[in-house]
Amino acid sequence: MRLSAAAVSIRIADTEVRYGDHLALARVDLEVHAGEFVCLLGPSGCGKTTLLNAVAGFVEPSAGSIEVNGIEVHGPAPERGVVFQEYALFPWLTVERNIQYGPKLRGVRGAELKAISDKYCALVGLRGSAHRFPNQLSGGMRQRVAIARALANRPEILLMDEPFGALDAMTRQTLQEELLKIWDLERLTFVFVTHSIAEAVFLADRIVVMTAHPGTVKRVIANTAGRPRSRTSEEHFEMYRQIDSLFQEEARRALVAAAQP
Amino acid sequence: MTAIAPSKRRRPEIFGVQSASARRRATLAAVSLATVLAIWMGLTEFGIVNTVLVPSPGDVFRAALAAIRDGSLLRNALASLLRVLEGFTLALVIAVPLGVLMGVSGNARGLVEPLIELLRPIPPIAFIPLAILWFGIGEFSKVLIIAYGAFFPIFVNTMAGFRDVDRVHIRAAQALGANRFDIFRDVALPSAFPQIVTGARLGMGLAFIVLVAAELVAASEGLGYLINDARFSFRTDQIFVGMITIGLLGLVLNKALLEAERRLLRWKSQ
Repeated sequence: MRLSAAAVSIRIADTEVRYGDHLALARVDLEVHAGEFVCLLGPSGCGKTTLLNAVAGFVEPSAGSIEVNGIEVHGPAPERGVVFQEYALFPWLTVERNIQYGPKLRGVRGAELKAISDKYCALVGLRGSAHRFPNQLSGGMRQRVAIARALANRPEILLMDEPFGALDAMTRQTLQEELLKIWDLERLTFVFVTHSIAEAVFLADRIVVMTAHPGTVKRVIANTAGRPRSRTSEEHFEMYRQIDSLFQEEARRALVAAAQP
Repeated sequence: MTAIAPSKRRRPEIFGVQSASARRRATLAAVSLATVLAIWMGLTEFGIVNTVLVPSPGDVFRAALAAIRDGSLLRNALASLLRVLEGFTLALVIAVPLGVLMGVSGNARGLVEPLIELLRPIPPIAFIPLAILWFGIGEFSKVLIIAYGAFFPIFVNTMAGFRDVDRVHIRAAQALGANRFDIFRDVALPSAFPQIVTGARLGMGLAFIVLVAAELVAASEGLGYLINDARFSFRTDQIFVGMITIGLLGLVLNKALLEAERRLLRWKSQ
């Protein structure tokens, strides 16, 4: 693990998000260090996506503040790359042009632009598909393009909202492994939303366990499993059990609460 | 094993039937056209119908040849085509910017939508008398009515296209550093483009319908004029020639637009 001593990348202070009357996220405090891999883990309705959207700048917190590198977040910015569950590739652009989009907005042109898209196409193993359109790709390939597109823009933080949620289990595992390799190479801060305990344990340095009604952070757990990760190691199972028991406990509590008049 | 093997010839789908091969389609088209032609011939040859009212295919063919030879068919077809294109272009340059504006701005939509909803149910043909009174029976009033007819499909589709831009695409662009103008140019416009093209195709179809109606009422040339003029001299064969020409012209225009749509929207195909 490479945290603790590292600088704070994202500081979420007393942050709350409301949609009208609905409290989507109640008072969260969280610090993410530069270069850290953090997973936001929880059932649907726990506010994990809301929290990610607040960091991305898509939603404005109703209370508290979010700072990235000491600067308060208001709206999206290229230093915070985003990968969406539904890929969000531009279907009218080829793979290559999707990847080039961010750099092109910054004014990169010509050979330099081509070099960037070549590099990131290769990084995600899509060199042969540069001139295809997203509609012609499988879900796994589309998500690779989405990751490449976000990385090609040279962000400091990569925010991922259940990026592998729509993929089959096998593709999902492959992409998890590749994502770890990319994280190792690029040395970025990763914030990754998931509802899969196994995925969080396999990927994260720290796991933010969240619960619903209202969305809150229940606990932040440092992942004790060493790297490189193994899905079948004893420490992996140990982490899994520990987090699973947290959710079991929460489920029991919810049942008891529901039984009360 | 008693498992039912899927038949090679029959597809299990009832509704999502795959389209037949090109050769098969061509055969079927030939069969259907030949059948109609045979029935038509039979009716006229055996005197079942009055050939003054329903000319034989041979009569129609001869009338067509005559109209081609004396140049009247080409002259009238070109006159009609020019009107359609003028009216359609006029509709396009007004409907697209207006649709964009209303798709982008909620206030503009609130102001203009009630007017549009009120005007839309009035068929363009109902405007012919007014247009004649206001602008006379010249080219201008015909082009204007055609433009009016073509306007709505283009406008409505453009507006819908811009309104239905996927939020996740906008967010993706924002996160990559796009400003409002970038999003308009790089996300909203390409997102809405397929619907604009569809609107244009529908608009063209309507322009064609309105054209013939306008020419029937007041014109000195054009295909509508041709068939109406033939009525006065009881030349049903010429009426048939005019109508078939209208059908063929509409078919060609629609096919051309479909082909343009396919080429422009290559990214939509699998």
